[in-house]
Amino acid sequence: MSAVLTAIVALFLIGPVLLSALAGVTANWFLGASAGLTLAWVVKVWDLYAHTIGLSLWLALCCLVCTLLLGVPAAYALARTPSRLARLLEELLTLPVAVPGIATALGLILVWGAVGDFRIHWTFLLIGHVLFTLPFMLRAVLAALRGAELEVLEEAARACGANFRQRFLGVVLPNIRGGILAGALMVTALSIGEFNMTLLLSTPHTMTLPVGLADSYASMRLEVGSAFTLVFLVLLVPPLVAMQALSERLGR
Amino acid sequence: MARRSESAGPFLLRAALLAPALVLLLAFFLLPLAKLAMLGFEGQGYWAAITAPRSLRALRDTVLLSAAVSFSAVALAAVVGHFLARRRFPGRRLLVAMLTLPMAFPGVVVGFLVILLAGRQGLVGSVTEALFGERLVFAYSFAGLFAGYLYFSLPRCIATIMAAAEALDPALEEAARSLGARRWRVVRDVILPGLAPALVASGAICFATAMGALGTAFTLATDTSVLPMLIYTEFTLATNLGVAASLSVLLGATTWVVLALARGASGSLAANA
Amino acid sequence: MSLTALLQNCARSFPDGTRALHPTTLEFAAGSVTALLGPSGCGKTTTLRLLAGLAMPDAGGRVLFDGTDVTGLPVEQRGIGMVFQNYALFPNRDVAGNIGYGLEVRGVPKAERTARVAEMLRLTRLEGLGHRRVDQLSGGQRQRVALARALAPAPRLLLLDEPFGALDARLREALRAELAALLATLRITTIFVTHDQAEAMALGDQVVVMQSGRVLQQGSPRAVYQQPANRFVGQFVGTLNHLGGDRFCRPEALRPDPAGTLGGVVLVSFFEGGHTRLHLRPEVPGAEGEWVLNLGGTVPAAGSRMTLALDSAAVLHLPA
Repeated sequence: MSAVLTAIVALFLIGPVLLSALAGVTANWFLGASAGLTLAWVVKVWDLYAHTIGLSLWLALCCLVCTLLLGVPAAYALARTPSRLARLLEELLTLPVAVPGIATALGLILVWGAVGDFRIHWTFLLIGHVLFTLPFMLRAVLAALRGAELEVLEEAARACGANFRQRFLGVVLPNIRGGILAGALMVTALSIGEFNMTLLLSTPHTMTLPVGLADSYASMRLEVGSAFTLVFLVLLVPPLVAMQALSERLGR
Repeated sequence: MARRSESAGPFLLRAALLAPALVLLLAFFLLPLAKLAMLGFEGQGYWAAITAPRSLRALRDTVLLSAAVSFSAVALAAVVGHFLARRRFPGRRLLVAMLTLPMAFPGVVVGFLVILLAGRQGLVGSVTEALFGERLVFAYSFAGLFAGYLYFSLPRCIATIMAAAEALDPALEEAARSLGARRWRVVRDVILPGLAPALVASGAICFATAMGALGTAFTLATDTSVLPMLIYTEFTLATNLGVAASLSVLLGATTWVVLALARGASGSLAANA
Repeated sequence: MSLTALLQNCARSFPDGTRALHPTTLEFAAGSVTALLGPSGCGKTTTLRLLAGLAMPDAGGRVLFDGTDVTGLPVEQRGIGMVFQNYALFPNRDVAGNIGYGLEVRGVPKAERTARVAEMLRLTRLEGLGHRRVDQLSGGQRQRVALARALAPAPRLLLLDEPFGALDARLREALRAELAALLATLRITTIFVTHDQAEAMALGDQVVVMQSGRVLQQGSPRAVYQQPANRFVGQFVGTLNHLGGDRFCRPEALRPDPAGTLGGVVLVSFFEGGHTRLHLRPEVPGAEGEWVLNLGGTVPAAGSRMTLALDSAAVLHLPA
């Protein structure tokens, strides 16, 4: 019985993805796959929405750099401070995940929307993405820092005479690289797909891939939407697969 | 304790490492939220906004939908997660990968998948038309929203519960059986208590995500209006910032209360387990 | 009160075809205490799981309890008691809840259950701990709860998987004596798995020595020690000194004797309290390895030569 239910759930989760991929390369979905296969829709998507793809990839890259620079040192400081204050700060830093994205976006617009041209600059989106993804980086790195016998290793490095910089670069970072990589992949995938916050934050000048997707679903043929979805999945799936492969390797 | 903090270097250094993240949080999260709350509470607007029939209906529907989805997703994921954790069969790893892959699909895409499945030109429609001569279309109703929300909730629940089931000692199940417990007794007395913290935790995350989800409803443009969608229309179409702010506070507060309750429950469950 | 268990021609294969257990027939007499002894991977745990009904034998194998075929019965219907490695106590139930579980599942009324749990608590010297959470118990207490839980439904066959595996050496010995006394009063057919030969010898009135999925020898501890079936058994249950060819002896068969015919050079000695353990390099043609013997009193210094006499009745002829 469990096996049957698992199969049904799998079909429910995987079926629509295959359906969408098929629709994206079908000449006329209404007539069915018999109408022939074509890449015309993908080309059309490229013409219409290439800029959204470019912006999303650029945002994801910048977001990754920011979360690495902000998240890794913060996680290290939190992991090494066994106080109530540190616990509280950790709670606080992971709060943006629990607050609905649209509320955060509204607040950002209220406070910062009228400051110069910030509202129509891509960095406005970046702020939102970093807020939302930082908790995931933080958690992944914290988990790695708290696992492993890192504190003992660090003490061993101190006993060998290593200063803080040498310890952090030579002992800490190499031993938590699995956690950092897992966090990085998660951040990339989440940034590429972020919509709840981005819908309000984006402007006609700053349209990301998911917002473009929503636009195509609302105003284009079904085949165009499918083709765009296909392009999106081709971008999103590699980091996700890498993440799974990594977590399996770390799990063993 | 003293030994621990010594190995971490001086306090100032740690503060310096934390400061940039905290500044970001303060300027771009806490300050905006405070401003939002102030605007939301200003004057009589707050009470009027959240007691408007439209708002109450949206709140009710959103909570109902999120609760139904969380419950279903956790129940399904419990069976699937336990099955995947215990059985070894060829293709298992691929199956696990495919089941958890949709975890990072954004809501808009999920909405579109529901349209492909149950929309006007959807698969369910074609199949039912061929079988019964009538197209079944439910993408744009409450059922369509439910299907979409279930779609993006399942992968995360399965991943969490599968991890918990893998950590559950199989010897406990064998011990119960050796004492005479049949299948359902084992489920009731060993598996469910063992998984309980994970079930509550994943249910809570599921609920919070569903409450705040915007993309799926946006794509489906259903008759049922969920709260985030209402906030969006208030803000963009009616440019009614005060109402949007009030509703955001309502949404955030409801979500937070449920998360806090669940955390308390899962804490006491974990203490008992 | 107890039953005779019989494994008839039972084998167990992994999916890839390798054998965890080669076809094996073993009888466990009613009321006996049997140790399944062997190194890890020898098939002893597989044998125990076949008896429990947690694993099924390959086609052709049968499990019989008092002559009744129970091969098709799953564990929950076999009416056995089992103590698991690391005990597998239910963390969501307190001590009494764990011990009473088997009775609860059988639908025993509450009053009767409470009385039986109290009796088991007394029997295993856990009085007053009934409402303790299982994670607040010491290792020895956990082991006793696991034993009480297995015994509460009055099973006719008791199976124990490495019952002392999770305990430290000193506690092991104390609990071993306790378990031996308990088993002697209960007279339940008992089969336990261990990799520790001292434990097997002390607790079992029968020992089954296994290696690579095969039974090498079944017999009393004395028989297995004094007439091992082959070199592996001889080495696993004690120390063997090689005399050349297929001839071996136990350390106690050698004694210092100026008129003796054997000689050796002392390599090293270990003072072990009651006696001193000597390692010698034999000066006998054909003898391989080192000899070990235990001496009381004064011990010759390393490098000195010793003359030894051999009790010829104690010479063992062992095939490889």
